[in-house]
Amino acid sequence: MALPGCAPRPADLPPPPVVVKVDPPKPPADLLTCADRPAGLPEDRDLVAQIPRTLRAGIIRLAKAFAANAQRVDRLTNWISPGTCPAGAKSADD
Amino acid sequence: MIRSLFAKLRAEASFIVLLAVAAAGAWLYVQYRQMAADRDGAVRVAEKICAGAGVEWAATKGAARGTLCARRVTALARYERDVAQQSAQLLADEIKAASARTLRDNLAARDAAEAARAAALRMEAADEKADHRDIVDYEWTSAVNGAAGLRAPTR
Repeated sequence: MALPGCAPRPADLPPPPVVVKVDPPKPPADLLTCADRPAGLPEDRDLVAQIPRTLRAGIIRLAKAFAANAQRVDRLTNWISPGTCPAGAKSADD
Repeated sequence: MIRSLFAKLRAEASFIVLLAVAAAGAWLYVQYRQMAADRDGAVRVAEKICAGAGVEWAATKGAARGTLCARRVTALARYERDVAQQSAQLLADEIKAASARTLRDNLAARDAAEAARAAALRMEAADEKADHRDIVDYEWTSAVNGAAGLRAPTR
């Protein structure tokens, strides 16, 4: 049991917490690259093809999912290391 | 009557002077005792403060008594102030950075959603046009590229 004179007095404030900046762990660098955007379908004027409806629907599904996934990767990369991926990126001219 | 009193006092003048000197001495003695008690109390408090700061109050080789202790207490107070100030600054910077990051991401997400909606509308229109004979042309492939966020190959 502590002596009364040694007991902490109510006037004693707790020591203030010392704030230290700690960077959150970053994912590996190969996960922090911008989305890979290859060239898409050809858009030649003389291009004509017969594609059944179900196949067309599949192509459209893939295209939309590709855009959403690529956008998500870019946003995540920019969130962790800002300014890495340009906004509204399209496939590079090759 | 008053005159006789004065005459008596004059006869005892030396004793009265002695009395006055004794009274003054007693008063000075009391003053001294009070001062000494005050000083001892102050020194005790100083010793307690120095012990709390982890430095001896007594004089050391290089410094008069209390010098090191005063320096230490001053440094501790400055340390506390600096820690609080820098912590607040750090927290404020972090909050600012976090809100800037969130704002940037919100803008990027909004732009992406708008682009995706426009591309989806265009895709729907192009696909409806192809519905008759399942024939697609460059407008349809261009709409697919738009929906995927891709460019056509340049060959």
